[in-house]
Amino acid sequence: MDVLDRPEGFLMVAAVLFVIGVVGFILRRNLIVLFMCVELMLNAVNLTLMAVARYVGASMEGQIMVFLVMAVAAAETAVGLAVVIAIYRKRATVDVDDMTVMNG
Amino acid sequence: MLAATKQLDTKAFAEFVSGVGDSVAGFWPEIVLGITLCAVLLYDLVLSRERSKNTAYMAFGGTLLSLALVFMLPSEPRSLFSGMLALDSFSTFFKAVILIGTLVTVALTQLDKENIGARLGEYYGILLAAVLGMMLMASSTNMIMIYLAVELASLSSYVIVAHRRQSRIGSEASLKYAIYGSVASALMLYGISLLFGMTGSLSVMGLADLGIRMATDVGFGIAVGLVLAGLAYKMAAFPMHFWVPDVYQGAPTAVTAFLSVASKTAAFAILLRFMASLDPGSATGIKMADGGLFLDWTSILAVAAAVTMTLGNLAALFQTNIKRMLGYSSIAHAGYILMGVAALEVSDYAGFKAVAFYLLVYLFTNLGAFAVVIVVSNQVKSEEIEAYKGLGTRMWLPALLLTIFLFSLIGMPPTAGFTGKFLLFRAAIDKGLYWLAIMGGINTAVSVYYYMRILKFMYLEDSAEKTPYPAPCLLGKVLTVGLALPVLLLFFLGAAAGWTKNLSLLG
Amino acid sequence: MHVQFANIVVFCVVGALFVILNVSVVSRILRPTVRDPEKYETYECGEPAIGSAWIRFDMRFYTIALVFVIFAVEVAFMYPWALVFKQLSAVGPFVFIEMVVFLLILAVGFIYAWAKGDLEWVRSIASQRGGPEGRSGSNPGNQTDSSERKNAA
Repeated sequence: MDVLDRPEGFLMVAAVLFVIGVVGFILRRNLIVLFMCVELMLNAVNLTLMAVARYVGASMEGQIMVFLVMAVAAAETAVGLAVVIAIYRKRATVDVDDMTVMNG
Repeated sequence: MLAATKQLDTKAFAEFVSGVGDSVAGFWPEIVLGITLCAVLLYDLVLSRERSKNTAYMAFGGTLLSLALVFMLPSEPRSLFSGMLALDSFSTFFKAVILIGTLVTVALTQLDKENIGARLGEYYGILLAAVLGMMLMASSTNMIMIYLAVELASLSSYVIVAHRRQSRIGSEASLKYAIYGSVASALMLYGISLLFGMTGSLSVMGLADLGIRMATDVGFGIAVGLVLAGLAYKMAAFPMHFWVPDVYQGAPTAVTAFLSVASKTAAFAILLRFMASLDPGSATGIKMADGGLFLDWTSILAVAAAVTMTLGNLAALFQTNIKRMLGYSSIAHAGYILMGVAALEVSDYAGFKAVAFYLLVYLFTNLGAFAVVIVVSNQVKSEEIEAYKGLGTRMWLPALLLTIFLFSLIGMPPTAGFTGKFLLFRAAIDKGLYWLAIMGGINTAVSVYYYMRILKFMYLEDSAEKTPYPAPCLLGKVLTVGLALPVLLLFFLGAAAGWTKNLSLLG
Repeated sequence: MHVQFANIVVFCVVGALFVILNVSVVSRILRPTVRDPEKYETYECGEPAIGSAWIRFDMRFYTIALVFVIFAVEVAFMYPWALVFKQLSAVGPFVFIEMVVFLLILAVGFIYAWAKGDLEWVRSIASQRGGPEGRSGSNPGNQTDSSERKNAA
């Protein structure tokens, strides 16, 4: 109960999640996995916002922001996946290393 | 569980509702744009005829009406929608710049129709959605609003870059843009959530006392740094500039032109507002071990400006595709403009005016350069710099106009680019950033090489063919000449810089 | 307290009836009777029900995932609104109009996607991929991801 009374724990978990997302984004090469890593980062943000909103007091701004982040994240994933599908239709690969038509 | 349904404050809600009613008066440009957007999409759905120009007229008309409404907005600065948006001369100026850019983009699209292909109704709908996002970016004063506006602009841009479904480089460009963009927005969002933790409020105005109170806090430095990184992506500034060349090359040229000016303008509007609330003059930044300042925001922005312009200019030297070259040149210009942001002094607004004026000049100059690229590629069917050989004799008018635009990009008199750069350099020198001004000078000298290379190809090298190309179509002539005129005129008006003189921020 | 539990019981009963009625009665009346081996698979859409779980799903399912995600989020927005609707609608019709505008905008998008045929099941990817840029011969369903293996190794 003691841990839940303070936001530090949540913030730390959020920071770890965020870093996992960043590292995953840098290391993995599959487009779908990249989008999952971004999603992980956004969830870290949501966790931070909720943790803070709980301790900050009356303002609902944090909670509202979480809803909007969820909605925008869905839209972002939708756009990303749509482009992935468009590329897949033409090339049958979702590996970022193959995205090299333009270089220089 | 059911305790959650406690009595709500209906009186406060009634006040909120009436506040929304009042705010609508300052929100008409956006509303008109939103309605136009839906109308274009539905018209396209119901009366869809390929190659019809009607959606273009609708988009143009809606944007023009919105622009007229922007000029008619009440001049009294005030806050809209319970602190979400600001109505002040600053946001009005940037909205006008973005809308003028949109008008030109709609015309450029008609010029580039062969290349952009079918489904133009969809194209204009998405374009207007991006414009709506950028207008909101220019006036946001709450971080919720900043995030939503940035995302509205970004998501629409991702889609519109991939508009040519058959184009392989188009989808690849869009994918790179979308993936790195979503990371950039996640970084910005994490910064916002940390700032929320420190202030307990998402209002940008709330940052002012925080900036002083937590001036030397490492966490605060990280949070602000993350937000700046997210914005740097939209501005195409170091360290988030790497998407630019691919996207600029892969997108339809009209879209490239739009992104290079409107997206950048909106991002700089947010950056200025954000940094002004933070008041970089008050020596905030990242702490050293002994408690002193390691880096203040002025120096961080100055370093970012120097690195951005150097990277952009050096990479531009080796380009063979003109759109890619203009992409790197756009990175370099983000660096020059950042110079003005680094010189931001909230008390006298000198940095503001320089940045605002330069963005206006850059709007006409870059749109003009891309307009010529479209006109040329309609005839020559190529975007390679090699293809510009002998163009001075074969297409004299576009070649002459391109010369004017390139002179303005270099910053040579008698073009507006000179005045704009002069104001930026003076702001930096007034602030005592001599080394940055010298870096800017060296970079300008470097940039002369790659801009002049195009002139050399056009006027000094001969192509095998000598026959002149047919004259560009009427729209092409009107557009390119129409964009060249302000580039020349603003050189003379620049000293007065009338438009940007009275810019002020709410709050 | 008991009244509240009664509510829950009613919900449970209605939920159970809904499922039972639909599965056993309504679907029996509405469904066409087509007898072919595919129909007896666990998942009619063609995913093998038995075998390794580490296969790549057909890309065409992502279209369905897209639509699902968007509408799932839409509902998430309606919950807080529904919670305060009764009290705040005493102030005026603003609360109602607000949600109608929200749903209308979503409806415009949905109708647009539907009318343009973007929700149609993509019949054959191979026929669309025949252009000079496509790689012929690779099977979308079973394509293994070489980089995934590289990472695992």
